[in-house]
Amino acid sequence: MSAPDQNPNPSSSTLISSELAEDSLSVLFSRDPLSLANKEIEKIVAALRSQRAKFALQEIEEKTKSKAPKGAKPAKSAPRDPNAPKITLSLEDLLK
Amino acid sequence: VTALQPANLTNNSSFRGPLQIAWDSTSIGLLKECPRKYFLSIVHGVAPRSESVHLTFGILYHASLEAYDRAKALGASHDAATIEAVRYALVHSWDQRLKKPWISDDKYKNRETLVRSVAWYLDQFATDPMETIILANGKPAVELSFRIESGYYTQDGQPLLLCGHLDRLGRFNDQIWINDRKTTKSQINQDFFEKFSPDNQFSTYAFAGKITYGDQITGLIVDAAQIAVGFTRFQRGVVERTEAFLEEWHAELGYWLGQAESFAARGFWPANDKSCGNYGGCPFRSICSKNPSMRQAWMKGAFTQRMWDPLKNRGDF
Repeated sequence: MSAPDQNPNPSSSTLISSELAEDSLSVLFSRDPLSLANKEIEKIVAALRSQRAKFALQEIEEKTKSKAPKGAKPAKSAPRDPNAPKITLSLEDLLK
Repeated sequence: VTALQPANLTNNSSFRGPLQIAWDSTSIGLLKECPRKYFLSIVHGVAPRSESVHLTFGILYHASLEAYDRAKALGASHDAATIEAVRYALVHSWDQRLKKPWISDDKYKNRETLVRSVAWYLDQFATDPMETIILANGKPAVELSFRIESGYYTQDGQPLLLCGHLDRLGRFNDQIWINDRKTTKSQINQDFFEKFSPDNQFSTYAFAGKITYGDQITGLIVDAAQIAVGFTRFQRGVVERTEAFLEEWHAELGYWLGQAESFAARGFWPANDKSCGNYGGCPFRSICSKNPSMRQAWMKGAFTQRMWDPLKNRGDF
């Protein structure tokens, strides 16, 4: 069962190009925040999402490395059926 | 007997003279830990000159997430509400008077890790199956202040109050949960969640929740954030409080509130010298280690005066 509260992949609707935003992150952080336009805050959010995506990927790689026996290929996950029936969530799902 | 005198408590709405009448979990916790530490922190109103980065970080983290919850309740999209929360974190961690950011000497808890943790938390729980409760007045149940009668009275019949703030009330599978957000530098594992049972703060919240919302309150859900230099990792855990457990906690609260009145009446605040080394060392250790007559002078150097008014303040330390 999927973990509905855990979203390791940052929003696909990333507000703007995260690469562009990451470059200017430190500059934006050093500015008076009251002078920052919405677009500039969007850049910060996009850069942070990019950082999160990299971290999530790194975690997955580390978990795969530590679990997989030497020489084994990581298993491919089955594609999700968009028409699958909705499953009632349990407390366990909330905590995953 | 300590040589220190209480600060001027006239403007502190939680006090009547030297006696605290409105108690939050911070005050109760300090009293239980060490009556003298409680006296210095709450009654005398003394704080280390360098405000705890943990307190500042915690307040800004909670308030930024609250900004998100409020924006969402007003109909904002996840992205728009995230921008509100990040803007809040940036603006409130910037000193407008000095025109510079909040400077923290802590490599884990600083402005950059604050903003990152807020943004990452919101994406982590973007599709949270636990929905924020919307109150009858249409407002989201976030940073919910409570003020209830404790069921205990002073010797002259004054009711003693319990007060505080709940981070968020959420609904999941037709049950109501108190959602509390915690930050830590440590790795989050089962031990992390086990340390909340027993725990004074969570018992206070669960007790207040049960009094206010009755049996609808199922328990507490803790959203823990491990703040590291290069990442923030999140984990959810459940903290349970049974009816019998809370009854016992409440009975013991009566004992502690009675002790506080007795200490205040006598002006006698004994130190619990078995807790001096807890939580990385008590900030008042350098004071308590001096001769009583010398303490006031030593305090002037490294400490500053502040007022802890549970009916107004927000935060835990």
